[in-house]
This record gives sequence, C-alpha cells and structure tokens, in this order.
Amino acid sequence: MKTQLPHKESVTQEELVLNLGPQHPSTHGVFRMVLDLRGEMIVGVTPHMGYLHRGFEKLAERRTAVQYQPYPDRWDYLAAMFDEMAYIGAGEALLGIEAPKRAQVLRGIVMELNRLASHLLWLGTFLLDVGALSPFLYTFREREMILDLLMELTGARLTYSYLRFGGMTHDADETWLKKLGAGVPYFRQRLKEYRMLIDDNAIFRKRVEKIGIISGSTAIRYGLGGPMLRASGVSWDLRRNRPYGIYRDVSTPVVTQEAGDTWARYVVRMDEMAVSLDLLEIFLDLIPQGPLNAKVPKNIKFPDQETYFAVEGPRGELGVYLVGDGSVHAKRMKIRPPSLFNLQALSQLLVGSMVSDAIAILGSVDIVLGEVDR
Amino acid sequence: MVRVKQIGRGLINGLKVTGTHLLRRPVTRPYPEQRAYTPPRFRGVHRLVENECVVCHACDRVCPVQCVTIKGYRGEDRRFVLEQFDIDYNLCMFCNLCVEVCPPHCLLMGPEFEVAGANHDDLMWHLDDLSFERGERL
Repeated sequence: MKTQLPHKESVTQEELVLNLGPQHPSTHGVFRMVLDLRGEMIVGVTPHMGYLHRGFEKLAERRTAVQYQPYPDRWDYLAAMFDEMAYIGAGEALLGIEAPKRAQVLRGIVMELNRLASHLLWLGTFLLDVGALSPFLYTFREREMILDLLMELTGARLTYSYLRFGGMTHDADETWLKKLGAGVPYFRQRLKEYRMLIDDNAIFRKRVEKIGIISGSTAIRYGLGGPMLRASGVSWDLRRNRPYGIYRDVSTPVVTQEAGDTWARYVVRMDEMAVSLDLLEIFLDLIPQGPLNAKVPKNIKFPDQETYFAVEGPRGELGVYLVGDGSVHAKRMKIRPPSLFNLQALSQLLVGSMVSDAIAILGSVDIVLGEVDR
Repeated sequence: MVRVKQIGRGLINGLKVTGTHLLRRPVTRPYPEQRAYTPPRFRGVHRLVENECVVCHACDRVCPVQCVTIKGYRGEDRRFVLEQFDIDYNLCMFCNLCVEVCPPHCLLMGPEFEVAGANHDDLMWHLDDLSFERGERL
C-alpha cells in the first residue's frame, strides 16, 4: 500500500509515520497500525497483527475432540456462542450427528442473545471512539443483563462452554425462558432509546457520515462479511443464504444499507439488533419439549473426512474447516475468522481519509483481536 | 438556523434521557462490599465430596490442560481411598468438563471465584481446600 512519493519541498508535503497501538485503547485490543500521513491525510496504512496469537488451530490437533470443546470460547470472547456453534457444527457434520429440535432452538436463542451482547459492546465502544461517553454506560448496563441471563443458563459470563456434540450441557428451565420473554420487550424499549439518543445527534452524524466508504463489489472482492458487507448493499446472510440448525425453519430478514460508509454500518448493526429480538420471540414460541442431547458415541473420533461449517456471527461469516483422520484428534483445523477478513479492507477504508476519522472507521469495523490472531 | 435547530433537538433528546435516568436506582453492584452475583450453575472453584470419590481418574483424563493430580490406593475393604487430589488454578480454565464426566458426581463447582494468590503455590489447591460435605452450604 506504501506509495513512493517524489521529493517534496514543503514540510506539509512530507510524510510522517505515525504508530498507532498496540496499546492504544481505540484499537480495541492489541492491534497496531502504522499510518503514513501527509499533513493530516492518511496515504498508507500497514496493519500489524499477531500480538494475541495463542495457537488455537494447532491446539485442535493436540487435544481430543471432547477436550477441545471449551477452547472455541476463547477465539472471539465477545461472541463465544458462535465459535462454539462453528466448531460443534463442523464436528457434528463430520460425525453425522444431528442435535434434537429443542437443542437447536436453544442454540438459536443463545446465539441471538450473544449477538445482542456483542453488538451492544460494539455500540458502546464505537461511540466512545467518536467521543460519546454516556451510551457506553447504557449499553454496558443492558449487556450485563444479557450476560447475567447467559450466566444463569451456562454458568459463566463469557466463556460459556455450553454446546456439546449432539446437544448442550444444561437445559433451560421455564423460569429462565419466562425471564427471557419478559426481557425482549424491555430491550426493544432500550433500543428505541438508543436510536432516539444517537440517530438525531448532529455531531455524531457529521462525524460518521461519508467516511470509510467501501463499495459492494470491492467488499465482495475483499471477502468481507456480516454488517460490513451488508452496509455496502450486498444482501448476504448465512442465516438465510446457507441456513443451519433452527435457521432452516425460520425466515431471517436481512438488513442492508446502500451507502457503505460508517453511518451505514452503524444503521445495519442497530437494525440487526431489532431483527435478533424478533428472532428471539419466534424461537421462544418454537421451543418444543423433548430430549436435549442426541445419542453420541462415548469415544468421539473424527472420521477420515473433511468438512467446512460456517455460521453467521455478529462480525460475519465464521467458518471452521475440519479434517479428521479416524483418531480422537482433528488432523487439521482451520478457522475463518470474520474480523481478520474485515480488517483486510483497512487500506481501502483508511487511505484518503483524515487521522481523526481513522479511529471512527476502525471502530465501525468491529474487530476482536482474539479472533484475528487466534 | 437549521444547524441550531438540529443541535438543539439533539440536546433536548439527550437531556430527556438524562432526566429519565436521574431518578432511577443505580444498577451497579459495589462488588467488594456486596457479594457478586453467582447463580446456582456458576462455575467457580471445585468442591470434592471426598469419601465418594472412586479414584477413577476420569476428570484427570478429560482435563484439557491437565491441571488435576490424583493419587489413591485400594484400602483394606477393597475400596479406593483418595490420597491426593490437587487442582492447579494456574492452569484451570473452569470449563466444567471434569464435573460433567465424574461418574459418582462427587466433583462439583461452587460459587467461589476469588482464587488470587501471592505466588504460584497459592494457586495449587489441595484436598483439604477442596473438600466438601454433601448438604454443606457452599
């Protein structure tokens, strides 16, 4: 991306190298980018990743299939249910197991709850990046309620370790479901409050409109996913286009925006939260009585085959490519983390914009470094 | 003029939200003074019903980080007696796999989560730290 510039006479035309990160709080984790600036204009960006590399792909080859079950929680610690679903789903596809209906609906419920929690954290930190403090406190209050709900169900706030091959660890009792049912209208109310507070705010709109624009075709070429792609007018959602689990039985509305700028990404995520709330209500009506766990062999061995299983995470397509060789370990596992792919478009998004916009644009990408570096 | 109107509307909306929150009770829990919220399924430090353990090593084998150390011997009445049961909280990631796999269901996870210690040895919990009688309040 670095462009070689001819010799310049004036200081204002000289290039300045600015190192942003890895501890800069606005980079949302240990992410470092080196910006080449001319005046206040960004002319080049070099991202440096890997500060949080923990070798999760290799660990899958060292741990048995059962032992690896708690690890996906640590890929993307803000939306751990999706990682679990991707790994468990890939494993189930290899093993030829299908979870019972109740487990599938329950998976849908916890995933949508987790999407809400993840988007709420994004909203809070994104607004903090552009200089608004109070929405951060409000979204964290609501997120804490969701995390409490998930903690009551699974036993942990972030690293749930909830899904298992062929089912899950705990069943949801009636009181929990009732609590969730009462929570949905409450969240809808709060969502309206956020939009009232943020949408009409002239300063916020001026700050985020028409910056970090990426067109639909470029977004597809970069392999972007999730709200990043949908904000560029591409109607692509794995929950509708390649449904899995309970999403095969429901029709998921796909939210799109045409502009492709930071504002559009904000709107898509806000609308997605509303869709998640609708889906939660549908799932609560759908949930049947019955067994929670399918029959699973005592000693789980991945057969000598390969599979790719992807779920629509809050950041985009989260896929797991899993190869078995008949042993209890995976022969190879490859994760397709959506944040990593979304981050690839950084040079496209940042070059040509101002330094002050860089933070807002990076915030709108919604990266989780645990997932980028794995 | 339009600009003033816009900013004014944002200001009024913001103040409206502030006003509604002004009279509400705080949602934060002052943690060290007040107990943290731990639901019944909460995965805190382990609890072991010592006399029910059959030294089957199931938890030891399933542990992804190998943080459990178990030693036992067969007593005079041919029952297994637990000699050593250590959990290394330097490594443990509270994943619940050991609890799920325990055949006599004598390994549990309690609500306690404050395991911080001054050195690595403090994080090594032994049998007498983990021991727990059934019916005892956690």
